Parts: sequence; C-alpha cells; structure tokens
Amino acid sequence: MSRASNISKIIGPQNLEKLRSTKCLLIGAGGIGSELLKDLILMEFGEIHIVDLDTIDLSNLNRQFLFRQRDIKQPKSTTAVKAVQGFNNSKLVPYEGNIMDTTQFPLHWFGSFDIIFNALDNLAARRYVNKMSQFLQVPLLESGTSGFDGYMQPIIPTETECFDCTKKETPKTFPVCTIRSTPSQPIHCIVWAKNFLFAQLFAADITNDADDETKDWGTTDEEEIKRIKQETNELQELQNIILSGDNSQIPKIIEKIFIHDIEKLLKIDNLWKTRTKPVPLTESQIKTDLTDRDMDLSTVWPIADQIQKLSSITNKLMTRMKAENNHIEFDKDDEDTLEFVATAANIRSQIFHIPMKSVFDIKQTAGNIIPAIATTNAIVAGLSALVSLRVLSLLNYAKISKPTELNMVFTAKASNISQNRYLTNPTLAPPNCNCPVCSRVVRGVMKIPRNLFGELKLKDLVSILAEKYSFDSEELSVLDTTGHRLLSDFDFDSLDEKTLEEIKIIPGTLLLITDETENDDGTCLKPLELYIDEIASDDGKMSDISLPDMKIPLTKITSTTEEDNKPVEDVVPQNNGETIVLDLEDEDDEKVKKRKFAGADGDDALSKKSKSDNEIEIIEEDDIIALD
Amino acid sequence: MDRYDRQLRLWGSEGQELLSSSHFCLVGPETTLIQECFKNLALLGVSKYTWLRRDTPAISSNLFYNDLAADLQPLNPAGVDIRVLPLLDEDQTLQSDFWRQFSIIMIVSEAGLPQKVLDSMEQSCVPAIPVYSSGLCGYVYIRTAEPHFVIDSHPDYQVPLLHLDKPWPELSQFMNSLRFGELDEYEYAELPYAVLLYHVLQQLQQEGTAVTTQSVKETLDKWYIGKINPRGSHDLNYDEAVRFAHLCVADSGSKRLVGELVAGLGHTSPYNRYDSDISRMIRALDKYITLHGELMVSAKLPDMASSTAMYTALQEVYRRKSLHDREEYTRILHEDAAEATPIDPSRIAAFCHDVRNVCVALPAQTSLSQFFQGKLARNSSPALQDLIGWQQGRTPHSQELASALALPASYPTASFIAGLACQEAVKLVTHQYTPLRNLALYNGSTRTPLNTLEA
Repeated sequence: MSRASNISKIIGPQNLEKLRSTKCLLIGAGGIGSELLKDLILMEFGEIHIVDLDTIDLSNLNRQFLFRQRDIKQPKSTTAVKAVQGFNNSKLVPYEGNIMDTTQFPLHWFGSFDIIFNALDNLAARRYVNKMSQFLQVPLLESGTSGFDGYMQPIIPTETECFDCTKKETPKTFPVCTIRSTPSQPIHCIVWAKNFLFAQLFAADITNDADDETKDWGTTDEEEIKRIKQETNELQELQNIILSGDNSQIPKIIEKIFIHDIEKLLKIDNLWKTRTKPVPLTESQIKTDLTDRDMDLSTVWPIADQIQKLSSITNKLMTRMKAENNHIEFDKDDEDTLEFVATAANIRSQIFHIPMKSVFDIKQTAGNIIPAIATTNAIVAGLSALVSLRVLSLLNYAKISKPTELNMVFTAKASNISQNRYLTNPTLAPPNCNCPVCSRVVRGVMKIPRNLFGELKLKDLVSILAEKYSFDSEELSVLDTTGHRLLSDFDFDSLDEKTLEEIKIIPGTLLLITDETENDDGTCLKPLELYIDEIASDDGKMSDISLPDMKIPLTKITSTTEEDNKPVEDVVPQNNGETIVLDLEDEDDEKVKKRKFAGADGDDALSKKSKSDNEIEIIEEDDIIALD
Repeated sequence: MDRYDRQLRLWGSEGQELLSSSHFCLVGPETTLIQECFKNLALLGVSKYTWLRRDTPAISSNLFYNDLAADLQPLNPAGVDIRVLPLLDEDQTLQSDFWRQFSIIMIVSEAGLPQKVLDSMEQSCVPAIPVYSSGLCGYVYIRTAEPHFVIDSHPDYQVPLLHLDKPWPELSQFMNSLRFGELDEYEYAELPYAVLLYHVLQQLQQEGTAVTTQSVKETLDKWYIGKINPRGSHDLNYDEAVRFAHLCVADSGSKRLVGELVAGLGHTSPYNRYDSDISRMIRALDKYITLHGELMVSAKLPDMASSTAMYTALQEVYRRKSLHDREEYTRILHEDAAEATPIDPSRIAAFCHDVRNVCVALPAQTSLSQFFQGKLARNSSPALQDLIGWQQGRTPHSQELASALALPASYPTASFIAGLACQEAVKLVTHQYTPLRNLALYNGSTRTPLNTLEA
C-alpha cells in the first residue's frame, strides 16, 4: 500500500486531493521544524515552504534528526530540504532568511498559504507571525517546547484566541547602574561581560549606548553617570588595542578593566555607603602567560585560572578579529566568545564578592539556553500536524461545528494543573476582548488591481468601504498608519478627489478606517486596519477589488488608551536559575523598597521609572519563553 | 560543549551516562511506531538495543526509514547496535533473568505475547512500556512492577528548609555575630529574611510562646517593627520574612518522606547496581535521620533580598554545613557495609544535593497480563478494551473507534505516541523526573482525543 493510499483512507480521496493542493508555510527548521517537516511530507501536503535564518550547530544534533555532523554550519532550511528529498512527494521550497524581513517576505507572500506552522524559538517572531495571520485570516498552528514541557495552539483568526490574547513572559531587564556599577548577582556580571564588555571590544560597529540626553541611567548621581560615559570612551581605546593585534598589551586591558575601572568606582563614595566595597585585582595577579589550556568547563576555576584563561582567550579572539572583518558577535556555541564572557563575568563577580560560576552554567544564562529534547518535539509536532487536518476540515471524524471546539495541548506540569497528568487538551477560547492584537482592531487585506491605483480616488475608496461594511461615509476617518498621515475625516476632505497613487496609497500601505458614529447605547464599530495589496492585472475593473468578507463588530467606546499601550507583561514566573520575573503589579512597589539599598541620598530617582530605556536587556534576540 | 548540551541541562552528566550505558529491549514488528521509537532513543544517546520480533516483514508502507539499522547510525556517534532475536524463543523469554539484562522493555504494537512471557517479564521487575498506535488512535502505559526511585524529581518549586528552629552551632554563631538590636535602619534592610526569622524565633523562645506562623508574624510586627526597627516595615526583607513566616514552624515532612522511601524499599528486590545503590542510600538515610533527627542540610539557599556580602556569607554557612552533613552521611552509608563496594561519590552527591527531591513513584497497579486483557485495576476503559481487542483481532464495540482504528498508520499519530513513550522511558532510565502512573489514551475519533487514566 502506498503512502498516498494510506492518507487517502484516513481523510478520504476527495480530501486527499484538497490536501495535495494545500500550500503550507513552516517557519523554523529546528527541533519542532524537523519533526513537522517529516510529518507533513508523510501526510502528503502539496507544498511546504520552509523558512529558517539559522545554520546548523553541533548542539542541534540531539534532536534535529535530519542533520548530520557534516552539515554543521550549513543553513538549516536548505539542508533539511535536501535531507528529505529521498522520500518526498511534496513540493518543497526552502528560504534562508528572517521571517520578519518584509522585503523577502511581504504580507501578500504570507497570504499565499492555506495554513502556517510556527516552529520558532523566540517571542518577537511568534508575535510577528501571529499578526500576519490575523491580517490575512490564515490559520496558524503555534507551538513550542522547553525541556519536557511543550504546547501546541491552533489560532483561527477572529474565531479563537490569538497568541497575544494571553500575557507572555518577557525578558528580565536590569537598570544600567546595576550592570555597570553595582552588580549584586552573578547574572549582573554576565550581562555586563556579554552585552557591554564583549560587545564593546569585539563587535566593532556597535555604537556606545551613551546618546545621553534622553537616556535614563537608573541613577541621577551625576558623578556616576559621568564615570559610566568616560568608561565607555576608554573602552573604545581598548578596542583599538584589540584591533592592533598587539598581544603584549593584553595585561594592560585586564588591568584597565579590573583594577583602574574598579578604583574609579571606589571613588564614588555614595555608591558604597551601604554596600560592601569591591576589591580590585592586584597587579601581581595579572600574568603574561597566553598559553591556551583545556579546562573542565563544568567546574568553577580558581581566580588565577580565570585571569589566565581570559588572557589566553583574548589573545585568541584578537587573532580571529583580523580574519573576521574586525567583528565577532557573541555566540553561545562559539567557545572562544563564551569563555571570554564567562571568565570576565567571574573575575568581576570575585571583585564584587559574588560567587563565581562554571562555564557550563554561565552558558545557560548568557546564551539563554532552553533545554531541548527529541521526544517533546516529536509529541508537539505530531499533535500539531494532526490538528492541522481538523483546522483544514479534512478529517471526517468527530466533526466540529466551530473553531472553538478545536483542541490545544499543553503539558500539565507547565500549568500546575495536576502532578499526575502529562498532557492536557482543552478546547480553544474565543478571542480575549482586551487583546491589543486581535480584538481592539479588525484587520484585513484590500486587494486592488494594479491599474486602478492611478484611477481610484480616495472618495471612491471611502464609498467602497462604507458600502461593504455599512459605515457611515460622513463619519469615516482614514489614517495612513505607515506614514502617520490623516487622509480623510468629517472635516478634512481636501484629498478626497486625489487618486490613491497621488496620495501614496500603494501596495504595502496600512490604512486605519474608523467610523466615528456613536450609537445611543455607547457602542461604535471597531476600527478596521487594512493592508493594501495589488492584484497583478493591468485591466482590472472596480468589481475586481476585493475586501475581506466580514461583519465589523460593535465595541464599547472606552477612553482608556492606557491599557492598549501597556506592554504585555510577565505572568508566569519561570525561575530560570538566576532570572526572577516580577509581576507587573509588584514592580513599582519593589523599586520603592529597593531604594534603601541603592541610593542612600534618598532622592526618588528609582521609585517611579517606566521599564523602558533605562534598563539593559539580558537577551537581544532570544526571549525567556523562547521555546524550541 | 557537545551534542548533548541541551539535554544535559535537564538531567546532567549522571543522567546522560545512564542513558548511554542503557540497554533497551523493543518487542514488536517493524512499524512506523517502532521506527519512531528507535529514532528518538538513538537521538537521546541510547546505543544498545535488543529487538524481539516475529519473522515477518514490515507491516506498514508508511515508513520513514528504509534500512532502519543503517539509517539510525548517524543519529548516535557512539553507534547504534541492534541485536535482533526471534520473538518466541521460550528458552529465553520465560526466564526473568533474560529480561533483567535490559533497562527498559518497550512492547510496541505487539499484543500477542503469551501470558507466561508477560509474567516472566513482570517477575524480572524491569519497567515495561506497552505502546501502540493504529489509525488515529493509540496508547502508552507505564508499568513498573516495583516502586521506582527518583533521585531528583526536579520539582518546579520546593519549600525552602532553613533549619532555623534547630540551628547548628555555626549558624547560631553567624546569626549572633550580627549585633542584632544595635543596627541602624539601613543595616537592618540589608539582612536576609532568614536572619529576621531566626531572631524572631529566639524572641519567641524567650517569651515561651509557641511557634506558629501566626505568632511569628505577630512577633515580626510587634517586636521587630515595634521595638527593633520601627522604620523597617517597608523593607523588602521584612515583606519576605512575613511571606516565609511558615518556614519557622518545625519541619514535619522530612520524617514522612524518609518513611515513604523506606516503605517503598520494603517491596523491592534490587537486581542492578543502580537500584542496589539507591536502596543502600535510602537505608543509610533512615539511619541518618534516626541519629540526627533531621535531613542533611542542602547547600541551596533560596534567593533573599539582602546585601550581596551578607547573602554570600549566609550561603557559605549553609554550604559548609551541607558538606559536613554529606561526610557524616557517607560515613553512615559505608559504616556497616564494609563488604559492599563503595558507592560513587558523585552519586552520593546527587542524592544529597537536595535529599527532599528523592522520591518514590509507586507502581501503577495493572499488571502486564491484565493490561493486555484490556483491564485496568483502578478504572474501566471501554476504549482501551477496544484498542487491545483490535490489536488481537476482535471488532471494537464503538463504531466510530472501529473506523478510526481501521485506518492505516497516520504518521503524526505514531510520531506523537512514540515521543510520549520514549519521554517516559527516559525518566525511568535516568531516575530523574517523576514518571507517569497513568495510561495515556489517544482516540482521534472523538472531540477530546487525549485522555489519561489512573491504571
């Protein structure tokens, strides 16, 4: 029996035809991605487009079973496609790139898919794809794993909860002064070593973060701010030493960072009124031995070994700089960069009386490593592939009448529901009416034949919209949200006679359409966000213009915009070693209280700070919940 | 850092070592399901397999690997060694010693084993995992015939055990060296909450008041804020002291825990090195708690708002005590076992790391032969009966289920079921994380396909 007759029996011959003409987008060719690719091929999906920006690393091979030792450093998407050619009936299209790159992946490209599978490892991309799916009303199967835990959630736009309907954990951030002047935990030193010291010395084009006037420093102590700025300038001098390749100067670098800079800090009396003073290294501790020795990465080395290793690894990185265009990014799997960050962090810890850690442990924090195993990925990918048949209405069993009857799956341990159950599969919830992504605004795509952009006037556009969605054309406002321009509203009609082209409404423009009419019961129609797309036709007619078929729902008029703007915050505290995520509610409170340690002078600089620019993020691209 | 970095973070080198030296027995014909099991296990680092199968060709066309043994090789750099044996060689399969060479037995899509073979498997006490998928349905059952000991259950949260009510001399000395009562408000704000609680306990003792969470909270308010540090009520450490007031109340869980472990031991007959090590360590733990009245102190100190120096100093006090306790424990462990081989210090360290994370998972009650009759000890499950019946060639009662079962292998179902089964196998082999005591049933012909049942 062939594979096709297999699946034909499962879903029926007609549905098999549908499946074979189904085009799906798989974002991520990592742990879940490899599993999904295999499952989707064996299910006979017609077309699978697979996107990944990453290359293969040794630490992927414990689960990403399509890759081999010899594939290390090769791009994931193309390698995965090559690996499955042998048993593949589907049309496979690999892309190397970042899914958030709008040039490579414009919105209408997403629109060419019947279903999207997310197999991502970071929050930003998950959020982005979620938004695209909301725009285009393309069903999204979101999934993630972390160690033994995992989840899979079908998202049917407008019908079920979207990814942002529930709060997601965001990375922990720290005030600048904690990182640069007054560390008190290992993680502060690791963030300093990775995001500040390493970035300054080796990632040459990174500009210093002292674009001061607007910057919040987490302190108002002028003396301290002055010192932080000065230190940044001096680091640029150290970077010059690195670029010079003169390794006899390495002890000078170490002296500067771990003796002179600390001595300068010690001169700021305010900092040490209530804190234990740091103890700088002594010159006799700094040796000129640059021999690279193999060390046990899972133990904590004595301070002398840390210093020696930092010297030898700096030497190694200095040599590499020449070959690598004077730019080396921190990469947790690049052992040289990791050892640099680990030893620098540990020496700083020692100076500030903070316990040192092993390279293995520091790797987890610095690289934001999420444990990952083959089995959890197989579970989550298998369930995701299975539910896709239901989402596409290809399964005749236990038919569902509405999308909220679909199931999601998550591990019970992650939700603390029960100790003695592994997987839970509740049905989907409807959208959260306060969700800033899917509920406050209705979204859709408007497709206009190419030739009409020069003919269609703004007033025509307004009347088309008014007719389609029963808007009151007199009360309609049209806003170009890409360019932040008001195009039309009840007392601004001077652009109404202009063509779309003339007012720069072009493919890719986002328009926000709001009917300002307020009903007697205090409700109004929800704002509509439209993505303008073109139909590749040069003799299109007005009747070819397409708009999403939907009824614009009513909403209560609320004056609070605060809630909209509130960033989605941490709810599930995940204790990741050092990282403790605070509830938003507690935050201000805690800061007021912490003041007693921080600023003895008692100004309230620390008490009411928004959690924005004054804090350094631990992680740039990967997030805490980053699931594989 | 290596290939296994991402999983070492779950179970450490101790767990990985157990996996790579394990010997898996897989019983059953070549199916998508068994291929998926082999694939998962090879990825995790398992090298050695015995495959008991009938002499029949693969029964599904929907296979991912054409030449399984060869295709698996690249998945494990240490090699993949599969010894294939005929399924029903009764000379072997009726001997429980035969089964004892394996770490785990996975019975994959095979429901035709004679009862005496199942009984002999059962007698071997090797954990067995019956697993099956057909069409849109499947199951995974975890059968440990004996209590299974978990050396580290990795709980998401563990109540801190600070031993403040029974301080050892060095802890008292540290606490008393802080000039409590003579500090200014900034200095008080720097103290870890454990210090506040310690002094509250001392105060209660002086007053002769019984220690309850309530009395601790009252004393924090009336005595600490009222008399010692009137400006401290907005300090973080004060908040934490209130929140963790219950930690002052004498610990009663430790004795119960040891009791459970020892009781679990009563039913086991350890036959391999790991189990016998664990059973010796538990007996020694029993002696230890009888002698000392409490468990070994853990070096893990919870996070506390305080100055770094103060926190580090306190941490050091706990760390030294935990080392001391581990030495004492090791002495007890080896004192009357001169004839036995000494237990590896790293294993002792893992056991002592936080001894409260050692736990015993009692076996599910359904035996293998009951299970393959579709009977569960604690539940009745028509769906399971139908699945087992179907495997054995009987027509299911449920029409819907019958048609869902009759479907050929659905790849994602097999893939997911294999993932679930291997996941539990890993927990059993590494003796880390608590395995399920459940039967997991997947019935794709229903609206809520996934169900777990106490077996």
